[in-house]
Amino acid sequence: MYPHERSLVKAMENKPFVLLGVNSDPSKDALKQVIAAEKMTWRSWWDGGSTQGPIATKWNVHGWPTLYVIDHKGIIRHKWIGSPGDKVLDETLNKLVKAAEEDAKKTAK
Amino acid sequence: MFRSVGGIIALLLALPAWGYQDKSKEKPTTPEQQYQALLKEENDAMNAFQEAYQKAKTSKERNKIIAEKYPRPEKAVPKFLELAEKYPQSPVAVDALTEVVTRARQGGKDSPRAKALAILQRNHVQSNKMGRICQSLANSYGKEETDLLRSILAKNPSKEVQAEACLALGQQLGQRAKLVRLLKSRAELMKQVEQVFGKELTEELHKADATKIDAESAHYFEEFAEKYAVQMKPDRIDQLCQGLGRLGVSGSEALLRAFMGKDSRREVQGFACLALAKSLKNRADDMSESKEAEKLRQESEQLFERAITKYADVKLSFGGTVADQAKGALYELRYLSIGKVAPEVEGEDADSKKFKLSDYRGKVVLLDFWGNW
Repeated sequence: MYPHERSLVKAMENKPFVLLGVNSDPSKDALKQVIAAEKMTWRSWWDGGSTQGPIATKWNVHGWPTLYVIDHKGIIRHKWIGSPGDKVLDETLNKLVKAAEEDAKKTAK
Repeated sequence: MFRSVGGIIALLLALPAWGYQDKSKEKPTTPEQQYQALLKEENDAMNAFQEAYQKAKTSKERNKIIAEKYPRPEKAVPKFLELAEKYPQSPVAVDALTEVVTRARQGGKDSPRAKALAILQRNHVQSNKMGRICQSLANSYGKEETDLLRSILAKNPSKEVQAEACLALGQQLGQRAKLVRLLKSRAELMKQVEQVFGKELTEELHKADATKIDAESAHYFEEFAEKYAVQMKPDRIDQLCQGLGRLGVSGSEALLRAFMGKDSRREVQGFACLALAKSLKNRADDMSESKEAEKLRQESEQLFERAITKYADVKLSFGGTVADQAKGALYELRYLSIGKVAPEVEGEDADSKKFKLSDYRGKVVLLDFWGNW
């Protein structure tokens, strides 16, 4: 998943989009290593070192990866356990980013 | 905890097929001993792989270990099949063929899986060992599997085995209908499904009538509720309910309602109440947003509440209690459903810097729960 996430973040530069991770690795150092090795340019919360960390527990996550898509108003729009595939992911995000851009234009006027 | 199905499929696809070439040194003598030796060989290889995989730190190291150490089913399957073909009538053949069916992917008519199903159909439908394979067949999609289960149900003298076959038919047909629907609504998945299940089965699924299959599935669940539910032990019902909660097919819900309303065992009522709540929630999540989805979520919410008030302390075999699972799911239903405002996420990154989700309001957020462990 990382290569696609890398290109996704690159393609969405300067657009109203952000990728944020919630990471369940055992230590902050382990997380740092992965971030460096996989050239991750996005931020992740470190969730206390286990899959039962406070964030994953609150969000009732039992499968990894789990993905949530939240729109620019903060509303949950999609959720997937396991990636839905690059194509579906890109299409979904593009549509919502477009809506966010249009809304931003309206309020600017 | 489980890895996603997509991930597992990707993993399987990444592995090239390998022929079996090992010429073993000294062979154990009896068929039973040969079977045990094979099983041990495979378990040892799997343990060695898992140990190495857990020690790996980067995805590069992990990929290397998968390439070098993952015990490919393509390697083990022919060994078990060979053993069964050597002793096709012996009870050990059932064990060996169960391993084949559990490990081998779907294939054409000459695939190891198809051969194994044919031998079982021909020689073993009456065997008292067939209960285990029913549970494995429950998790399949093909017609050969359905046919074998039907034969077991009709011909096996053991009530316990019949119960497993009847249940497996409900589950197998239910998930078959689910896949048929998925293929109809998302045609782009055809290719992926074809890679895993082969052309034949994929085309058959594409043409099939989901409503009809659902009705058949419901029929077997009803038959099970009527004839076999009472005799089943609570720990098996626990395991079954966990599976049905995840599966989320409407046909199984009558059975769950029967467990809940008619079974006198309190723990069984608790397992079923939790599973029914989960099943309704999963069905709602699979639907596009609609009044019907909203109705399912409402009932699901009520059932989670009931599970917490009436069955909180009932212990589950996979750890935790009914209340543990119901509370998490209830929170998800109330605050993490599609259309709700995302709850706050607060914490620290790898550099111990604090940040929160609401910092990014105004942007579309892809929130990814990930990790390597």
